[in-house]
Amino acid sequence: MNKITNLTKANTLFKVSLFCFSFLFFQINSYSQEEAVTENPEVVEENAEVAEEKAEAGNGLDGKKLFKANCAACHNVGTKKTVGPGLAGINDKRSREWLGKWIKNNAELRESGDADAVAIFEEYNKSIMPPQPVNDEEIDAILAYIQNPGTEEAAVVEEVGSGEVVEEDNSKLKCIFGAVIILLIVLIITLNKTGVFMREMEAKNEGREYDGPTSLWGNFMKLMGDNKGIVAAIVIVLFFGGLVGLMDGAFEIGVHQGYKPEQPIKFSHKIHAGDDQIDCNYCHSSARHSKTSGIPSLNVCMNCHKAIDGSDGKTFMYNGAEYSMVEEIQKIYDHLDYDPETQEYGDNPTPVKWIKIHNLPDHVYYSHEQHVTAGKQKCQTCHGPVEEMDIVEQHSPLTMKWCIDCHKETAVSTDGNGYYDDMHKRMTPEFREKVMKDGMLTVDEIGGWECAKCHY
Amino acid sequence: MANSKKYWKGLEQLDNQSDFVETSNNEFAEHLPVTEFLEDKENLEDASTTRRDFLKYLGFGVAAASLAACETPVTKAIPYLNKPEEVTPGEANYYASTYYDGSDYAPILVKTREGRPIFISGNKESALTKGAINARVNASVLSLYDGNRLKAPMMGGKETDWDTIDAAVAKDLKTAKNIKVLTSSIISPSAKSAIEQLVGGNTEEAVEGEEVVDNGSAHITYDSISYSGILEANNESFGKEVIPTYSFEKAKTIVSVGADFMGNWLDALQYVNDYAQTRKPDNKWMSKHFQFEASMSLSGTNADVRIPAKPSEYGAIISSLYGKLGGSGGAKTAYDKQIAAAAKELKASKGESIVVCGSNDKNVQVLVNAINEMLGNYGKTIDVKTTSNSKQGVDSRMAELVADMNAGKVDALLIDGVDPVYTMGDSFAKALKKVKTTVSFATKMNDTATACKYVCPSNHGLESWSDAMPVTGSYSLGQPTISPLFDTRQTEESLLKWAGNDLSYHDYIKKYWEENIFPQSGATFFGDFWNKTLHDGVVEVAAAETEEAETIVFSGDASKANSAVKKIKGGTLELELTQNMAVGAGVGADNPWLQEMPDPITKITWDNYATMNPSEMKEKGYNVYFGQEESMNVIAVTANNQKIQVPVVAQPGQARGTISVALGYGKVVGNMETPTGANAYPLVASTKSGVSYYADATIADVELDEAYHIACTQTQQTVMGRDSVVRETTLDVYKKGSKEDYNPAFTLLSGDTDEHGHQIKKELKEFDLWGDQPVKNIGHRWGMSIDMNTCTGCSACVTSCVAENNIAVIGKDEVRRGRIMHWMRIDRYYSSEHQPLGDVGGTHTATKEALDLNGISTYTAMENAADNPSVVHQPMMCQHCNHAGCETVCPVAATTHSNEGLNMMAYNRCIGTRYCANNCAYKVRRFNWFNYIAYHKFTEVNPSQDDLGRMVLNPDVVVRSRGVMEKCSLCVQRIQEGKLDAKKAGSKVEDGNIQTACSIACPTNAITFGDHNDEGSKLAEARNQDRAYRIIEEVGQDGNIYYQTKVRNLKA
Repeated sequence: MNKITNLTKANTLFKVSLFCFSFLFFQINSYSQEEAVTENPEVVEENAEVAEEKAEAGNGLDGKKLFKANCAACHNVGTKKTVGPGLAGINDKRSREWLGKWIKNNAELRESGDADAVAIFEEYNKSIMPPQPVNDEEIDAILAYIQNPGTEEAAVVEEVGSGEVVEEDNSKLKCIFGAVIILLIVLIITLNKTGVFMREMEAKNEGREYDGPTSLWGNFMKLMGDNKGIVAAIVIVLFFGGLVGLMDGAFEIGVHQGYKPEQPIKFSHKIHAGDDQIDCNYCHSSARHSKTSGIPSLNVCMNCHKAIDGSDGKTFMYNGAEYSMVEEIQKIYDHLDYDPETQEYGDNPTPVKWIKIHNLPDHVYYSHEQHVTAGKQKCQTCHGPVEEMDIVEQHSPLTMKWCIDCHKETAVSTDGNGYYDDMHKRMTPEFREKVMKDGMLTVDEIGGWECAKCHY
Repeated sequence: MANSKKYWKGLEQLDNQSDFVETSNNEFAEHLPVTEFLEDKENLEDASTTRRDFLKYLGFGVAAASLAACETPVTKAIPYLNKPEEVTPGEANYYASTYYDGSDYAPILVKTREGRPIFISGNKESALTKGAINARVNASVLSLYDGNRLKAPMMGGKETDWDTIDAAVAKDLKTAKNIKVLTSSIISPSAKSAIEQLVGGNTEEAVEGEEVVDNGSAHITYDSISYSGILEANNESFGKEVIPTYSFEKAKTIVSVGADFMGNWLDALQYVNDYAQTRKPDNKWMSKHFQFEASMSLSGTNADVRIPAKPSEYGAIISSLYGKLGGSGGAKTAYDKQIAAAAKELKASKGESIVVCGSNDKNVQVLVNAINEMLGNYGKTIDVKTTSNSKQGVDSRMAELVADMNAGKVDALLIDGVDPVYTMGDSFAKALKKVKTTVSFATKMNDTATACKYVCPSNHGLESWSDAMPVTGSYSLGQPTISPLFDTRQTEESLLKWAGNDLSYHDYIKKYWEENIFPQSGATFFGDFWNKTLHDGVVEVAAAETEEAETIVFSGDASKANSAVKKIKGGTLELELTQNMAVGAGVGADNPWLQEMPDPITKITWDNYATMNPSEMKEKGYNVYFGQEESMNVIAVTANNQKIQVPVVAQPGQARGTISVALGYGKVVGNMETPTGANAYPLVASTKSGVSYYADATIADVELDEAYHIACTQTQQTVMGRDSVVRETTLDVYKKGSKEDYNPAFTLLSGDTDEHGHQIKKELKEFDLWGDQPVKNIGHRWGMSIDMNTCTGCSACVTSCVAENNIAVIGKDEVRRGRIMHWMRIDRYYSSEHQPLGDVGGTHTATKEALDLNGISTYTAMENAADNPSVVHQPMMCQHCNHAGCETVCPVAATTHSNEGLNMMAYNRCIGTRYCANNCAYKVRRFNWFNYIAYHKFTEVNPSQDDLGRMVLNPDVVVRSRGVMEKCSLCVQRIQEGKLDAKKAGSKVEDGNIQTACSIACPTNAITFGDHNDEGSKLAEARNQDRAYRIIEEVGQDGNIYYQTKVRNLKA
């Protein structure tokens, strides 16, 4: 009876210590730059297909689509000036006939001496609006759309979070851990009390005075004294367990998989690369022909955001919260010292200081062009599903083991490349047979494991 | 044949000096004072660190290091706001430009990374230089990031801004009458025209050198090293004050008397590649080169026959040659036999020879012209129609200017590109004080700028627009590769501004080209012509065929010159003032890379010194040996009543009765406090007839309180006890003999016996314990072939390697300890015949003529071996052995072999046991003793210790830290880039597309880099030649670097 009680206690204690130990390492592995976790209990699940009202022209043409295809690069349906004027209320301001002439060939209209046309031309610094290849029906459809652009754009969240919980909900987990710990403490105290009570009863039954310890600590010490072998075993196991843990931890030093810092601008890769389907290489253009993929310069942002300025009051979802587009886009303008009203650049631009996520040590010479252009690798192979990330995180561990593991498994993309044809010619049949045993030529078989491929 | 010579790196080795023998057996030659330290009981007891303190620090250190490792630094990534179209971060851009520093001209290619110029190589498109550069051109990129450059204009010693200084200078110039602009030779037509705007309005084209107009203003040209003698001689001989152009590629016989035409004489960069083309023994003919000289120059070391002679005898030698070629009244000299031999060769190659002389005496040069005229060289190998513009300074005009200044006849003096207070001393400094308005355009504070009222710092060449016409009809453009780092302004722009012309200098050049050069070019559109020239860097414009259709006839008075020459008297001890490859006339004196580059001949760094014949030094009781703790004798050299103090070092081959001191030293390098070396310019004799670079001198011993050490790499890293390091032969043997005679394959006794009981010799590979790597003949196998015939030893490859691979500068003290970090060194071996006369080579009977001609053997046999040795330059770097000794001994596999034949080095894995260096047969591994880029001991010398100096680092190569071994990687970063380019283009790696830093820098293309497994490559061709061998092949390490046996153009 006694023995059993003791063992139960020992087991419990062992479990508790193991638990504490693992908790300790859980802490060690967390980052110094821990991300502020945004609570995301419920995501507004809205239907992406928000009432897309068709233009009411009745001719069956989609005015919105036509507008986007032909006009949206320079105009918007609001009142804001972009390259050209905002078109809200244009149907009231100008006659249909005039508009038709202007859209089809405004130069001709100007030359005919139309005062309004010349005035607009002067107002916009004599920039010429190219003649648009649209027929009258299409013009009607577009004008109808401008007249009534629909309500969807006013208050609707353009891009909606998919509802996935982006991060593990750590705080919930912590709550559970806390509860379990409290429960365990209560359990231990109760067990202790019960044990002492039982032994006291036993002693009473046997007609002697109970002289054993009554306190929790006293019982613990007695337990230790009675079970030296077991305690020694536990100590040894703990010591080596700790050592293994320490070594594992040491291997993790400098590995920042999952590193996900908050960036100065709430730029969502999910919106740009995922929803808008912009090719990675559009912004990271040097990935194809340079060692570095390149952080896009702000002039690349301005290719689109000169027109898309968020002035229509749209919002977007970013990491589970809703933000105003205009505020974030304004950050770009601020850095460039650009005034969207006058469309002029000031002379006091400031750089954007992004936080670098993928940091390789200085003695590693990784080349993007080697992997992207020569190796024909997808960006996602190393960077993970960036198109699903609002905040980009380090997807891969970026350890050397990770590199060489991939080099062992990945086949070299040799097809149609004269360089490899030349290399193949130089192979002896025996060598070819050896390397092609598994049906493919992997990177390590042509020296992809050698030090000087990356370190020099 | 090769083995009949004894090779030695220095006198220490020749004489088997005990220290040398002892240290050369160690891998690391430095002397570590361990016993002295431990024996110093008092000092040790006084030490404040107790054992307990030590343990505390140790514990704290370990804890701190562990904590530091856990930290995750936040790195920022800052992109461009508006990316320039041509810049891609991570990719290099190359711009064609022009280098000209007042003496060296080179069209160059500048490599920039993210807008920073980091590497300079020659522009191979140039028909003049064929891409030749020297170490100074190469290292000039470091001067761009020199923190001591002037950062703003200065007025009266205080920094000011351009508006203030412009107003002040304009006010001064307005009232000034005699405005003189003093510059080094200007080869830029636009700059000349800009100067004219200031001094003479736009009156007419500049007359060579000087332009005098009504108001007394003029442009005066002054060269630090005067070539006045040649200019005046050509004026007398041909009626044109010009420097001719030489076609060394056509010269079958070259006789040079004291002219180092491969080093620093005239347009050496335009000669050296041409010369090298004639040194290939497989061609139809190989040139024969005689060199008479006092000190051992680069040309002397490469000559077939070198005869030591005093500088006062140069005239007599020319006169004697003149006599022997048929002129009347030739002088008698002690070198009759050798001169006769030279004359015989010259006669045999009339119209295909060149005679040059380094003397600055007009009469000597007239006589040289007469000789070349007799040989019919004009119009064939020497051209006085197409002339060189690189030297225009005439001594008498400079003397006139100084006289005018003293007489108060100069109101304003504008000085650019020269430092006359430094080169002329007090005579100029005194005169300068009499000038009211003085302006210097110096980029760094120098002696003249300090004495000037205004200092208007000009841009560095890499920040400037420029054009050049170094030779008639050959133009080049220079474009800026970086915006000015400081508040500086190009000289020409300042001049234009003060002349009231508001055009930027770029627009000015463009306008000048549109008006003057474009019409001659035959191109249709100026825009295209300009863009193409800017892209190519160089353009040849056929000179307008106008009035000079008639032939230019020699009309000098040879006999008058001859009698004047014969009057030249010599002294008992003559001083010759020379220029070396690192510093030149002074251009490289403040550049740490150049100071650390061992001199190609003496192998001394960070110093100038007097060289002297070792026998004479021994007679005087001077120390002739170099070593870490050897104390050198310091002497005071007095000439022309001026005295300088320099150490004296032994130079085998130095003419007896002469000492030589290099000019250009005595400037402060980097953050050092004291100047490096001594300024020898005060010793230059300046007389009425001109400037002379030799003088009678006296020397006196100087007692110093401390021992004077010299950092010489001569006997460091000695390949020990092998006689197959250098292979050389004579042209005769090479042409007539078989490979066995001059480059026999290695064989070893096998232990097996033949039927007669003799042991059979077998080839090396029979003994190899190693199997071939399975991939040896598959894929790439990178390697090099180095032609010792065309390697001149100039050391451009050494600085090129430093620039490419971020090699640390360590300073004199550490070099002295044998810790120089250079991955590439050029071993210079002296050799002397050790065989009795009459037995010159087994199968080839020595003729009387052969013995006479083979001046070296006759001469050396009579005298001491060190009196006139012949010299071999041998570039040495990691041999990338296929069976490398270093790889097998590394306990942590930090150095391993790649499938492509490279011996790789993973610095982060290296724990610094140095076993590899110990086991390297070629002594090419370097141990990194200190954190050179941070440790305070190197703040003075290492340019990478500040942010500005670090801008020159190559981002593609890691900066090694303390405690690791490093060595030549065969520029693996360039190989990787080249392969990737081929993969991207989907084609094989074309031979020649990948170049290492050394091979691209080599002015003579002596280094061929390539793929051994590409059978069509130049490397494969070179490797299969009969001359090809590998150094100490007998140790069986199977290197990938081949050398070509040196062939001298000698009989037998």
